[in-house]
Amino acid sequence: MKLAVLLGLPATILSAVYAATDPHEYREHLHLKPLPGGSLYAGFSFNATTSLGSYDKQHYRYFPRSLAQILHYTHTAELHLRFSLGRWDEETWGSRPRSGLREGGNGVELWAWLESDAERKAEERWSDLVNSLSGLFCASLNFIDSGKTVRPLLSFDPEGSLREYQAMQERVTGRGQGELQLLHGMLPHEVVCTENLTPFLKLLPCKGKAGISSLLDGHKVFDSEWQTMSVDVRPACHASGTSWECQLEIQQTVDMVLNTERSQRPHDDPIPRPKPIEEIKCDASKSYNGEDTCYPVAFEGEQEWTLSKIFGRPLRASCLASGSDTHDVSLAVPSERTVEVISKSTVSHEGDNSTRSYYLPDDTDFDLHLPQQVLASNQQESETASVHASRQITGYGQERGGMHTTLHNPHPWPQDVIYLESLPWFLRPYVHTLSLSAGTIKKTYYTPLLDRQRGTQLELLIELPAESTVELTYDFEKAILRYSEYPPDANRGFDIPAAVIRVLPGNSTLGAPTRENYLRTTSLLLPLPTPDFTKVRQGLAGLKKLLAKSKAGVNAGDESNGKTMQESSSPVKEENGRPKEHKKSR
Amino acid sequence: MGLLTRLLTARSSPVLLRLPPYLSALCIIAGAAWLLVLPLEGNPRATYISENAILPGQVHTYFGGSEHNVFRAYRQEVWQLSQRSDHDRIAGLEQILQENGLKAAAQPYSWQVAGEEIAGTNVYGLIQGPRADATEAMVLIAAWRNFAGDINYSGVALVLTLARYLKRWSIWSKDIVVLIPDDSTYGPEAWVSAYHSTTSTVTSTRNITSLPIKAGALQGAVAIDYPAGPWGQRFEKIDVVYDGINGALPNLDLLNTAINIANNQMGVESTLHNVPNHQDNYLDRLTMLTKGLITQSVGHATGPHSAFMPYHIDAITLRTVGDGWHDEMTLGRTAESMIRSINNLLEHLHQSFFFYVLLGPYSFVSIGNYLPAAVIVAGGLTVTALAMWIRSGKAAPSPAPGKKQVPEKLEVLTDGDVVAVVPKSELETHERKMFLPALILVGVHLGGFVPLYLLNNISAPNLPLTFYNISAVTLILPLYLATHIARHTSPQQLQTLQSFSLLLLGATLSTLATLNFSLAFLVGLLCSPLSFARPLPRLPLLQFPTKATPTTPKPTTDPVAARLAISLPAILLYIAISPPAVLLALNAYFGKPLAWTLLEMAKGWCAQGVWTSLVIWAVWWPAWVVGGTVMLSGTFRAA
Amino acid sequence: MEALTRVYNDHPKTLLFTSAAVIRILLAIAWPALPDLLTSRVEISTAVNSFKRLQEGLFLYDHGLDPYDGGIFHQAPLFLPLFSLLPSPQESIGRLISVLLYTALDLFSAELLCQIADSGAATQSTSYTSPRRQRTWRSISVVAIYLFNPYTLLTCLGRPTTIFTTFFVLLSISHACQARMATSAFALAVASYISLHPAFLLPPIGVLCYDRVCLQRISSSSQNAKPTTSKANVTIDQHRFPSALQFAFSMLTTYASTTALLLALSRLLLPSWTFIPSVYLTPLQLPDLTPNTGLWWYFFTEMFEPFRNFFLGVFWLHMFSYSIPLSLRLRKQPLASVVLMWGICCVLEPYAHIGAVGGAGSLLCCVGHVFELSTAHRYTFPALAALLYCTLLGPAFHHLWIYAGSGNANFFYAITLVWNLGLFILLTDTLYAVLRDEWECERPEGKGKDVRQI
Repeated sequence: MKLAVLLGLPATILSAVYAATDPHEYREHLHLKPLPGGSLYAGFSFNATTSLGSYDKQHYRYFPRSLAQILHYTHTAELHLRFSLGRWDEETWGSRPRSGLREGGNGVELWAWLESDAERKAEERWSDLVNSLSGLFCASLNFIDSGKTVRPLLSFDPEGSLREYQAMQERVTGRGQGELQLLHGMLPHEVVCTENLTPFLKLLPCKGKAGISSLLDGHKVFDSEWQTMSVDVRPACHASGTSWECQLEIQQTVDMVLNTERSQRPHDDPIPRPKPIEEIKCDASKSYNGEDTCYPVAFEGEQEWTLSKIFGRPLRASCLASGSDTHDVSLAVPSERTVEVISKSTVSHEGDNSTRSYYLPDDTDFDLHLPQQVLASNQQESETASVHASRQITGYGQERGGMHTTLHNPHPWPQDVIYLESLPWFLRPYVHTLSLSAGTIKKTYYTPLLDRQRGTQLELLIELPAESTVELTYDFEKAILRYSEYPPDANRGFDIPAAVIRVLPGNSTLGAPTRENYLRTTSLLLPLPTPDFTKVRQGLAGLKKLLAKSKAGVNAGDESNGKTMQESSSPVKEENGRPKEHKKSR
Repeated sequence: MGLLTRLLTARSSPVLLRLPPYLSALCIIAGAAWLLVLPLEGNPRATYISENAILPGQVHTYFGGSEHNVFRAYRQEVWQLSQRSDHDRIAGLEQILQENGLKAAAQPYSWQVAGEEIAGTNVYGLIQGPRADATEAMVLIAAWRNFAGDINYSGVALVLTLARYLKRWSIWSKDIVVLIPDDSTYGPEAWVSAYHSTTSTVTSTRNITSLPIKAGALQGAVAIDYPAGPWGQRFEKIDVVYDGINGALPNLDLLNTAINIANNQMGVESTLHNVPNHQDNYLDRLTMLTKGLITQSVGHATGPHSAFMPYHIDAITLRTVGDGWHDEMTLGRTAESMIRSINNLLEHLHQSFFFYVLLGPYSFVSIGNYLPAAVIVAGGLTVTALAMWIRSGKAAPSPAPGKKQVPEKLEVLTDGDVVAVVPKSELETHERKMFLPALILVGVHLGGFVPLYLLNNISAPNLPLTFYNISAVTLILPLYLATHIARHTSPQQLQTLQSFSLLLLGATLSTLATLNFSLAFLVGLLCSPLSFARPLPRLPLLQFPTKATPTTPKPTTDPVAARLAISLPAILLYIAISPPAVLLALNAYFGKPLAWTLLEMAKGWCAQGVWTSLVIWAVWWPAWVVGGTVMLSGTFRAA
Repeated sequence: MEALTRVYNDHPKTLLFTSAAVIRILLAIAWPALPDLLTSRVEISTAVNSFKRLQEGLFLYDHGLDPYDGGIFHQAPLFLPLFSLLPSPQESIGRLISVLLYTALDLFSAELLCQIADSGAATQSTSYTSPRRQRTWRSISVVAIYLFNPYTLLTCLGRPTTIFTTFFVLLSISHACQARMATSAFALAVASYISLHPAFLLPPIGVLCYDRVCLQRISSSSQNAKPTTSKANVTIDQHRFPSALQFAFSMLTTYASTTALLLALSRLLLPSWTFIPSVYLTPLQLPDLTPNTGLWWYFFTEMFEPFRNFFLGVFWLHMFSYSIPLSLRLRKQPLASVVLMWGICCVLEPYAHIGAVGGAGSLLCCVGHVFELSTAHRYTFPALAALLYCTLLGPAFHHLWIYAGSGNANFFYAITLVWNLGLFILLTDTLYAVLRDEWECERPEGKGKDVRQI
């Protein structure tokens, strides 16, 4: 239950933002939470807002100018960008942070609502958007072409109040109100790394020099068990008297799960050498236990960790000297856990005393130290995830295969989920083979692929019965591409983007949570048949010979007779052709 | 065109008609000789790593130190588990995996073969690479019982220790599956087939539960076979086992990597096919060639790795040999280095050879150099088939060469300077009656499936009896066919029949040669005498009384004795190369009980999907029967 | 046994047809997985005829989507209503019914072959009568070849829609042999509506049909006219022949109008015209490069982008370039030209498959009276042997490339090359034999001589 606080966090921040009068707002917040299995969850979030007026006047304070200009140019009303790496382990760590709202599929994921009055215009703006974003974030977003773009109908709802925003826009800049179109693209093969983090930090007012962002160090961030960065821009409007008051607000988050043991290894020697035997705790109860025989006992209790050691650098002073009224750092540990704060900072407990919050000092560094400890109330139970999903490709060989998705609903109430799959065109699904082991498909939206132009988009609204496991399967065929369409390392195969699963809010009478949440499966590897890239010429030469032969053969059938005729009709041949007969005849 | 017409002219020359027997004989001898030439100095090529990413032995291995103590503890633990019931054992192994932070699961499986049950439970755990994207995985295997059937104490312990050790690294680009199957043959088979299938369909003969935990596409597998007991035992060499099911081979790069790491990085001598201290001389190379040939031609699993091969997953087994001074940590570091190398791969192993014959740890011959051997042998059969066809097209044999007689009409065929004088009859083809031969051929080939079915579905105790009955029927069948077909067929039809049969055999064998070279080659050699099968001279003493129709004993130029002298050796040879006879002979040679062999074959066919018995009964057997029919038809031809 | 032989002697056709049907149905019942397995084989199913893709199209059609707004279904629209009547072949009963349907289709085709062989069109035309007419194959053996050759058998179980093409082509030919112009043109139009390339058969079939019409006139006249030498008859009847132009025009109009009708019908079934590009541009542009037994896929996998369209044009022109010359050169034996052209189409079509080969091969036997020539003077048996080798090696190499991963594309491609080479040799040999036959009746002294090029 303590995780509810964690889940609640964005809401609190939002309310704070809404309450604000000054349109130029900036908040940052770090949430720390030890997870079972010696891991530590760290959730950074940075929120900046600007008023719509100043946005249109292109006058910004905390709101990142570079991004704002792109949005302005491409008429993007709402933007969601994700960089993700690794897997969130639901069995061990429980439900996802921020209820999965700030996560993406492995690699890069982007979806946005664009203003445009025509399909084509929307696509133009979309391509502008991805190209300029790829420049901004040093990611190859520009590879999101028409083949990788889908237009989901059910899976995503705008977070911001877009209608009011449009009304405002029209009023402010008498621009014609266009249709709002949602486009969505994924790049599963994109490897997220430091070169994406740096521009991400550049967007922040403190550029990672001060405040909680000073903790973010590429080495540690990308050595984590699971990590996701997100950029979300949305208009937030609220009625002020008669008219609407609209703001554009950006939320940047970095969520990660760090392995405390691994992260605290010394920077100069990160190799996990076997520890000297003295440091290993042996199970003396074993009969064979001896000085050369040691059965290691599983580690129990809370591990020791220090903030600065885990992140490899201390947490510098607060970013904006202007004291903010929300806490900068919050730590979710049981109250009996001893926490040493190595700086002068006021601590305060929140509602149930499971979370402690700290204000960052304005001048000095801030650090936390939690000693190793065995708690009376052992492991805090982690709330079970709403749905477990896993997706695999079955079958072998490079001709055909099957998609096999397992959706498990652990709860005693039925749940509705929306299952979105966007597949590249060279994977040819057979929808008539689509089958569900249990549960029911309430709605199906299917856009078939077009060779080299459009990928498959499959969107299903599925009802998962209570405490059930539903298996979704269908067959597909693998296309063979033109040799120029293969990437380098063609024999690795092609990455298939993750499936997006949206768990709709259930009815609370059964005790189901009333807030929706998202999860994504892992991406997949699709091996395709590869042509031979070396012996092309020989192959084609063979074919040409054959065709030539076919011609020649047909002619020859004709000619040869002609030849015979000449030959047998020419008297000379007669002479030396059949000497015997001549003799006889004479 | 010119060349073609020249060929055409040559085709109708009588010389060519007499050539084929010698030609096919030449083919067979050449094919056999080819393999003997291969190991000669200069023919084998030196092995090399062609996949640049794999970087064998380039990483420093840290496995050791306190891990050794842990290993000893685990080995004791494994020994204690081996004393308990299967259920506790499974639970214990799972618990150890979970303690080390792996996601563990178990998979029970069972087959019903020949009335016997093959059953067991696989335990496996998954190390999720922290930075991996779950699209790829590699497998580290230690079967609970190794291929010889001993409990794999040290192997399992080593794999558990490695799991604990590898979990601490964050460098993995692929997930690592730690698999502890129940036995070395069927456990891996069950696991890998379940890994690649959507749902487990339970049949009467096959019940394999699906896997609760899965990772991405498998890129490679390394199995460890180290059955040293609870108190351990140092080893001398590492024997790398690589033969897959149906003679499939792992990519040569993986094999080279293993040998390279063992020899150069770890300083352990590595052998193949357990050929001790392989000096690189002709005899040793020949021995290795022969051993490789035999292992491959059997086509059965040779270790836990074999089951992975049909799924295009390159895999090998590291088996410890002898009693030396290398300790477990060396083997562990070898495995670690292997895993690191596979982890380096950017794409699936595809660069190096998949078809090769190893002549030593460092020398091999590639498909281009050895395939001709099998193809030539198959070609020999086809040559005879063509000759038979042409001959069957000719008119009844022209009068005996004894009497001088000028054909009434001669054709002079001039081609440039070549002049051939041939009787007109040579040029006229005669309508062939192909219906009956085709019917017989199809019938016999379908008949081949009867023994196949019986030997794979009869319950184990009755297998030998069934086999003997089948052998008896096999030996009688040609006789029966001969006596009953000789009446209805003209020699021409017999020739057509033999031609078809040999053609089919040749085609099948050359196809098989691309899949399982050794099997094709051996079967080809055994079948080669069939291309010389001709109707034997008639033996009146063998005539059945029933068939002894009032025959006027016409003066025969050659005495019965002479005919016997021809017939007997032929028939004896013929019987000697019959499938049952060869199987029995092999049994006797390897000193295995027949029942065991038959059961293994049945298991191989039903559970592993080995084709060998199919080849024996549906390819070799029919060809043999048809050959015999042709041969004996002469003996019983009514005067 | 005796009973069987008696039946065989009395009604061989009945025996053949029943046994053929029984074999097919038994196979489908004994191994329920077999039909779907065969459907998934690349040698049988291609992008434009796969039964599984047809199912996909049906699914979309039944759910109100446009099946042609996608890259999977490229088959003629009129199949949709036809197959939506059948139960879904996912269940065993549906599978059996589909197999029954295709079996019936095969039997009909066999019947048509039988008619063609019996019509005597192979050896007899207005201006030519083969000296080997007594050597003509019995229609029974032609039918047997068709019904029992493994290619037809497996294809029937694989249930590709191109079996309909074969059927309609045979229908058109048989009606042409019976001098029924309208129906022949109609059938051909249906065939080319399904597969496009049968359109190339229009010239030869036109010639054949015209020739048969003339022959009819002759025979009818020769009955009432007092018997004279046929030569005189011909000269007399010349003016009684229909004018070739008029005939060609009427045939073309029938063909065109049928095609238009079919397309219009299809449009009625579907929301839009998208099916036209989807069905007819697919063979023309070859977007789907899935390997098959043909020659195109590898070529266009490896083709440089700028030359793609050029070579697509070249390939189609090459296929077409046989049509008219053949029908002119073989105007004395029009059936032979049809047979050969159909064979060439089956080799050169973009999405080739063994089903077509089975059909064309047995159609080839209709000119069996000249085979003695090709066997005597050419390479028929080696070619057949090569085909046998390919039949076994092809799947093996495909397996090595796609599943075992130990071979690459060139393995399979090399085999398809040899396979098509073998087919070409068979065709050219038959052509040789046909011409030789013609020539020998002009110059009887040349019999039995070998041909030499000088």
